[in-house]
Amino acid sequence: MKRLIKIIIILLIFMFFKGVKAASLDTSINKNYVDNIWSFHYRNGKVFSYGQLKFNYANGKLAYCIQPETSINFDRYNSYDNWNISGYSEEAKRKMELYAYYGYGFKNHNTIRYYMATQELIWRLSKDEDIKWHIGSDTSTPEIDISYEKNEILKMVSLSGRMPSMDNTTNTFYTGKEYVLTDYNGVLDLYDVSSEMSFKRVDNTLEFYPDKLGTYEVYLTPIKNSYDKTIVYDREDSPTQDLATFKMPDIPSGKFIIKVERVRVKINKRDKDTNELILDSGNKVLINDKEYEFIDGIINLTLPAGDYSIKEINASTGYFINNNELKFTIESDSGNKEIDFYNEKTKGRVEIRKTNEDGDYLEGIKFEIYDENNNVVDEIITSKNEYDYSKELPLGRYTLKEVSTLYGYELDNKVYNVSLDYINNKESIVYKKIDLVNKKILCEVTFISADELDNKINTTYEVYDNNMNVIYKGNTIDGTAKLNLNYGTYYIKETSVENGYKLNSELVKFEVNDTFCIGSLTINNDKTIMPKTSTSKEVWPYIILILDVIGLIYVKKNN
Amino acid sequence: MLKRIIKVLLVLSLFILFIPTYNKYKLDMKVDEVILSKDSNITSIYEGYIYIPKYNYKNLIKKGDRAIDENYVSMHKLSSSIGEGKNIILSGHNNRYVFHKLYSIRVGDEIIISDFRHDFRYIVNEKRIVDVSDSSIFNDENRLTLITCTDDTQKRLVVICIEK
Repeated sequence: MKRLIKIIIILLIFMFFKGVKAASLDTSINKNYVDNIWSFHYRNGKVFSYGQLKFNYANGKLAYCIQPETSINFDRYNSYDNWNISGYSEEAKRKMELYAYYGYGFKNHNTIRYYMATQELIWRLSKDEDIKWHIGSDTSTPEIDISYEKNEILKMVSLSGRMPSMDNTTNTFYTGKEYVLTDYNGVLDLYDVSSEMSFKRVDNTLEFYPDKLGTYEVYLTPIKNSYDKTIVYDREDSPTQDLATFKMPDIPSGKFIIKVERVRVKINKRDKDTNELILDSGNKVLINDKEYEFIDGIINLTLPAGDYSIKEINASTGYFINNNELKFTIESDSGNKEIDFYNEKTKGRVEIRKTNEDGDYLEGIKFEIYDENNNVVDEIITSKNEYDYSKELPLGRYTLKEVSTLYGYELDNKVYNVSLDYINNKESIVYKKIDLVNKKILCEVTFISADELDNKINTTYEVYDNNMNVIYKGNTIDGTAKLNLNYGTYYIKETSVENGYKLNSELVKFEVNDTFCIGSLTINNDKTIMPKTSTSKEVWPYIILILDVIGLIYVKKNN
Repeated sequence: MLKRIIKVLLVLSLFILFIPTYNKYKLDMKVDEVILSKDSNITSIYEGYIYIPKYNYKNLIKKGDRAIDENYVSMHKLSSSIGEGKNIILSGHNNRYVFHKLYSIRVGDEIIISDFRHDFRYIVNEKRIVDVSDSSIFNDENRLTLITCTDDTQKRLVVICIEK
């Protein structure tokens, strides 16, 4: 008994190391026959066996026939992961794995012809000397040529182990540009390619479109379409055909590096007011002290990660230089960058200096500024300052018109053309100075010197302003004089008068204004009449005395 | 009979000869009466009075036009009022009641003009004969101008005084 136990233990240990499973018939075999495809196996120069093509499934897994000389006689098999069960060498096993991997089911190898080719290549590792395919169970039926499919598989098998040429390389890219990496080894389609960076496979090339900075690994992984283990299906108890499912062969994986070192930067020169692109070429900026030039309002360049500043060197015509440095940062994972650099159009201001004929600044005169469509764009009301300004206006042609003036001044009806023209890109505002003189309203006051009977008298006179300064001296002709005076308060006084009249030295105040602009002012002079002071001689006393004497003489004689 | 008539006439004529003297006496009495009066109803008829100390001559001043009173001094219509300080123009007949004395007055003599309230003292500065058409004396300022006639009706004696 003791001996029997030992034998059993030894037998179990042997079975374990042999990898032989217990004959539990753990695998269900299903066969799907393919109509009109028959294989014929030749040994010793003649057909040794033949059979209808079928797909064999061991527990659902596609299993290839590895023992063509025998039929599948059972629908339940044992499965073995010990290849030795098959009776083939390890070399044969590796080849079968390669055929199974690159054969039916690999990529586009999904046709029955590829299945036939794969099965045939596996069979050719048996004792079969030749294998031919016919559409019937007779070799007289037409033969099926699958040499193309076999060659395709064999070609792939021959390339097995060769890596795509980009493997183990480091590639430096910029964003915003397409890069194409070509596999000169022609095996790229045997690999899955994966990366965080987007790409496109076209034939044996990889097309990359880097869109942000960074270091990316691109993995080259053999396409996985096989099983984990190579399993042999067999029955030890009865002769039947051996089947096998094959694992993926040991094909190395690879990877390569893509370093996106520079990001594409687009700098747009835009109008600050409209946000429109300034389509101008030739203007330059310094980007971290390196000069770049705009073309049609755009600079395209690539930059590595870092801090940058844009400083404008010159501006487009109609604009002035933006002296503010524009700073920006390209982060280590930054994508394409678009930066808007703004320029402001040079503006213009109308500058009015408004004086009267004496050079005094006039406050309160209102002007309107019209654009070319005769729309009012601004108004200026003069102040005490020497110059008064319009608001900032777009450059162009304008007209200026006085719409109201000061009391006592003539309204200037002239329309002044003002052209606000671009000078250079250093001036943010163009000033257009206009010196205007407002004429005082000149009134005509007729000064009349006359007596009470309205006889005209020639006089000399003086006219004084409100501060009693003599502003005019003159004389009347035929009693009248024309005084051209502006609005204001005045005084007039006669300084001499023609003979026969008393000087009227009264200081006469008068106002020249809207209601008295053209009028007359009369100063009356009294006629000087010398009083009659003569007295008739008193002769009567003398007559009386004479008569008295005569009377006395007469009386004396008569006595 | 005729003799008797003549005698009567002789006596009458002698009386008549004394009439001007009497009138002068009466005028002087009236002038003194007005000057000394405190009654504004009386003084308001006159512009004031003139007094020439050298001759102890006084007379009242009335507004006068071309035809002036033979007994009073007339203030010319172009004259300024007394105290205005401009040109006071007074005229008077060349008779014993009014400005006969202007012929004998001398430069430097004093003349007083009063508006009954204030006296204004002048000194004779100039005497001249002017043509009646000469209006320059009307246009002088700050003075007292006295006018009386001469023998020539086209001439006038003008005495110009300046305030003392």
